[in-house]
Amino acid sequence: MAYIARRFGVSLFIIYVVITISFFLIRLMPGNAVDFLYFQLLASHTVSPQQALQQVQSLYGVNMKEPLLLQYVQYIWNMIHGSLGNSILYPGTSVLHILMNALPWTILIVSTSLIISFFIGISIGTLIAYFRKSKFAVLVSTIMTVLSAIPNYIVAIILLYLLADIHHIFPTGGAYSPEVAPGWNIPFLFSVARHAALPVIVFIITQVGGWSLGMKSSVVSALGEEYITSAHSHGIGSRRIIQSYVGRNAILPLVTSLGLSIGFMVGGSVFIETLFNYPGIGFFLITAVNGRDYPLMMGAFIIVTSAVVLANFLTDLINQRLDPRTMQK
Amino acid sequence: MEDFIHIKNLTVSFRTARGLLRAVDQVTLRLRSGEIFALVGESGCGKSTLAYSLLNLIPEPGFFETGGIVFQGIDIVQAKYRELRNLRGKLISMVFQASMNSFNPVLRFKNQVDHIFDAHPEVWPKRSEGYAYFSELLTLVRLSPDQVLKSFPHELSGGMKQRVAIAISLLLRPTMLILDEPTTALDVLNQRLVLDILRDLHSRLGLTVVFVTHDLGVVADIADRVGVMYAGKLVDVGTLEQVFYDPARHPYVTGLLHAAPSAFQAVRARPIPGSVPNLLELQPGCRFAPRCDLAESMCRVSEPELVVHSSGHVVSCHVMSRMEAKEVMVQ
Repeated sequence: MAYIARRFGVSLFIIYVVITISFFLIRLMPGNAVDFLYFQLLASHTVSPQQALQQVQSLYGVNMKEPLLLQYVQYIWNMIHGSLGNSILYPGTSVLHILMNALPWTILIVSTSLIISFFIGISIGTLIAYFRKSKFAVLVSTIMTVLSAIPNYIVAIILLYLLADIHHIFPTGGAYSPEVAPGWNIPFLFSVARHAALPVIVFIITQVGGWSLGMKSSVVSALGEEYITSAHSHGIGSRRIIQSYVGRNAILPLVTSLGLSIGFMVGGSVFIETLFNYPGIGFFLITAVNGRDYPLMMGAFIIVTSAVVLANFLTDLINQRLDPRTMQK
Repeated sequence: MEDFIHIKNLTVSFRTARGLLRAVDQVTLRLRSGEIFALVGESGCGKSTLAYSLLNLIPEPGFFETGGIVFQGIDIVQAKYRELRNLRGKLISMVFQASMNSFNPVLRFKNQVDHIFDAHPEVWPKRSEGYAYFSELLTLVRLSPDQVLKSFPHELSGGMKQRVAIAISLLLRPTMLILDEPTTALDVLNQRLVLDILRDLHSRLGLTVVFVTHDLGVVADIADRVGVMYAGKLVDVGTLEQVFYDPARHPYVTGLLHAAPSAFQAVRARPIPGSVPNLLELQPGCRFAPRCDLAESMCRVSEPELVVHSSGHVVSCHVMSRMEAKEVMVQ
């Protein structure tokens, strides 16, 4: 327990450090965002310097004429109290509100596709490891290598063109159809599933290769271990050896990568969410970058960072359950 | 004495990029019930492959090229997977060279023992009796049963794991135990402990033991009979006395004995000149001839057969056989 508490404390500290670095980077860059916005407002000649300052201040939740350190303290203070400032592109909307609405969509497509691609991947990987000498396994391996090498946005464009544009099997974008009322009703959930299908399929296609190749090499090296021969020498059945001896050990390194993937996919879903107009974190991050919406960008960075750090923390805990050798007293 | 296991003309080969490598080449050997048989030889002589063959556990890309192994009416070489599963662990069990690595690192010993019980439910219909027997075995190998069962493999030392491996190998009361270099990875004190335990277990349980080793000191300590292998061939089989003291033993055995260092001997260890032949580039004649002091022209032409000497000592050497009056081919 003490270990978990300590590990959690470290995670929070890492998030804090990243927030600090992001804050100062945005402010210390030549032509920084805060000044840029301030002078942009001044140049429009519609507001007085006083008003411009106030506007910038309300956007960032920070008074920019104050010393940098004081601004920083204020940003952190506002953050602790649940405020990340207001968005520039979506006036009158708080950054937190936008991100909290976006996060479930990202979590939906990222977790669904990760779980599906992980299980398909380890199954294929185990099979091609066992039959690695057969022609079929060599063919599957090659296909998986190709799949893992294709960038996801290419697959997304191809599928969009074929399945949404030409054949209209799936919608071209959005999270759900405007004709359905959001809520726990069948038409809405069906619409959500139909809209999530293409992004999820794209993720699965581009991820499954990596999982199966990783599992293949992990299984092949587990097969060479002495404890596998030893299990056979005790007459233990093949199915149990595959599950509890080969699989159970081969999967350990993949669980670590799974944890890392969860974190990175939240940030890496940028292309997919943009192409499918899918209102997740990645979509708003790219919108913020394009529109110089620095408060929103900063907030999205915080979410992505937290996702990576949190996923790492959870991976650590799961690994301890799975591998007694990493157990901490 | 009756044959316990009969290895007949066994050849185990490995497919390599440069051709077929015969790790075990036409070996014929009979083991007797209840004996401790030591299989001796240098690294790469095929002794471990021969030991693995007894459980039909040859690693890829190895395969049985010729011959058979007859045990209790079945041929282990031809046996189906079901027969092998029934045999493995229950009738013949094995302790591996690196026993510290022969346990699943993510499971407690209790789970691994359970898996073995599950594989052969007929041996211990009552699981509790099986566990009682296992506790007895753990006590015999001088470990605390409760502590071992709840431990993960990494929580025990290498020597302790070796002893757990020995206890687990006896769990289903097999009639035969194969030990592949069980003392090689251990320090001298643990070696002594394991040997004492083995001798003790052998006298209590009366099982047949095949002991694979390259350590002649260990052989002298524990074996009833000895088989010596060289470059895939069995070259000398006899009682401990015969192999160590019979002047008609194979010249390679003589070389081995002289090469073994001894703390009590004044003479310096004399290594055998030359090196082991490459099994992929064998010359005609006796495989040991290039390194043999006694080699004659015949030795470089024809390969000697295993011959039973009048003393009962079995040797494959042209020179030694000629000295013997009676020559009988080994069947």
